[in-house]
Amino acid sequence: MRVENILWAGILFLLFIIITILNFTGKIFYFLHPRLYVYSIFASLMLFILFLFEAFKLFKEEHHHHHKIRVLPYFMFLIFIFVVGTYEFENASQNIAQNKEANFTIPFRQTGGTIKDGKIEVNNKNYLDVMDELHRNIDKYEGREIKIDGFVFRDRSFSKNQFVVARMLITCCVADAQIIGLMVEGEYDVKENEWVRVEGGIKKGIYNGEIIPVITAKRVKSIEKPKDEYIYP
Amino acid sequence: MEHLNDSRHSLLKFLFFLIILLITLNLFGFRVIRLNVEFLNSFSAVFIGIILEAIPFILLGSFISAIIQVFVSDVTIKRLIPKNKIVAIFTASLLGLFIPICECGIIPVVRRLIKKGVPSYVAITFMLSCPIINPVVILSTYNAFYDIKYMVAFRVGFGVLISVSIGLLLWYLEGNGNVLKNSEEHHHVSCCHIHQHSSRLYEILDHTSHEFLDIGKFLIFGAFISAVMQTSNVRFVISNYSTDSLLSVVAMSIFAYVISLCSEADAFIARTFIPQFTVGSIVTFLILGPMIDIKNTLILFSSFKRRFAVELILLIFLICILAGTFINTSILLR
Repeated sequence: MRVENILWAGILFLLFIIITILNFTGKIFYFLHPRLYVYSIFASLMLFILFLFEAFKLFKEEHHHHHKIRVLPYFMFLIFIFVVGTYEFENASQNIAQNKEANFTIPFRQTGGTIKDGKIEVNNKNYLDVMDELHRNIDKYEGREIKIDGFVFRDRSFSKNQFVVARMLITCCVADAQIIGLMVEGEYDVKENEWVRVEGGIKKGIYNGEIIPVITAKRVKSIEKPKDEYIYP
Repeated sequence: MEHLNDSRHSLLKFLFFLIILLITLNLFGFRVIRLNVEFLNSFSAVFIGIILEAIPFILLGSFISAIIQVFVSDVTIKRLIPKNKIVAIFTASLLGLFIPICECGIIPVVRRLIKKGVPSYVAITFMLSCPIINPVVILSTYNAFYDIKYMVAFRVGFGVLISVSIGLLLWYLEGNGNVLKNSEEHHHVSCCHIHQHSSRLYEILDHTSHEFLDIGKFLIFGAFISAVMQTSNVRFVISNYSTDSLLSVVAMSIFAYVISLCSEADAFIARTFIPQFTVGSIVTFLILGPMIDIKNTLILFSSFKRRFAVELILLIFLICILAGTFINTSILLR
């Protein structure tokens, strides 16, 4: 009984540490939308309270009941802790990108209006507005210049001179993570999953029977991974 | 009492060794799953993600269950439940609007309510509709289907309808019979604890802690299976049946069950199926997922009698598939 108590207290402590560190370093946002942050903080607090409680139980004098020690429940928690310990957080975008297809339509309507004249500079703040507007009114923007960052995403169905300058979009959690971005056409020497800055002109293209905006890039440059990798609507 | 635990644990042990076997086979060259670095990274991402998203709600559910255990007496419950059973079922189906618990955290609460005297069929109605009527879920469904808003109406409408139907059917089939397994709580009952010295706070924390351990282990196991499914090629298999009125519904119901998504995220996944799949099948996906999936099944079997758990799962599948097929065929008639 005492062994179980110690084991459980230890697990609660480790869980508390993991979630708190993830919250503090912002790495939690590889898995959750920022609006769920408050729930994660709550979890962190609860785990700490439960840990203190179980530790407190250890020091109370209790009747010792001789149960058969059931290890399996605790084993599941240890598996989770182990997987977290061996996970490569730096490659989060790429890890989730493995099984996804690129989506060229944004799943919800944006309220942004027409994009201002001149070169379109895409950043995290206006990303969804620009994407939505480009997709809806592609005719208005043919020939315009655009600058956009993303990681290189290739699908099996793409031809050799196509890739998507992509971002990961999370609405709630990892399960609904989607790849969004713009198709780039041309011959470029890029590696899958590397982060690039694409500058070029917009034209109309076709993918899977749909008309989508396509960039014919004048420049494709390697860049450092941005601090905020994901897009959170 | 111990032997009941043993049978449950032998199931887990069996599944655990099966996984070890699969991994060993892979290492020896028999490619059951593509076990390469990419798969592992992808799998880990989803596995960790599911657990991180669910842990707050499991803690919340355990905490609420503990509060009910300590503060709400059987007498209070009896007073609160409407005398008319049909009214009770309808009320239970709408309660979820005010109680934002995820489908993971709700089973300990429901279990506790049944122990306190709520009729099982009323509690189950609440359990089935809560994850669908949850305001956050409605909001995310609305967001995902902003251009085809009728999907939101379908989800909520059929969700309530089906949970009420199942509630009524269970009332007919089970009545007031006991559906809970008696084996849990053994660590309280068979211990020689004398609780006079325990404060309410101690009780609450103790119950929360035990619930979290109980439910948490199933969450992690379910997340494991769900992550394997999400990193595998299940989607490609399913898409073969996308246009048939009945088969698409069956395929999506199996997909929803196996992929075990939280009801707050599934609307966006469902959205990606719109171009290919029938409307009815997507509605079924949106309704069956929150009601039952692999994660819940494990918890269900540990909390309820096996016969009842099987009956409930069959009912859910049957009625959800009926509803989906009905939507498909009636649209075709239009």
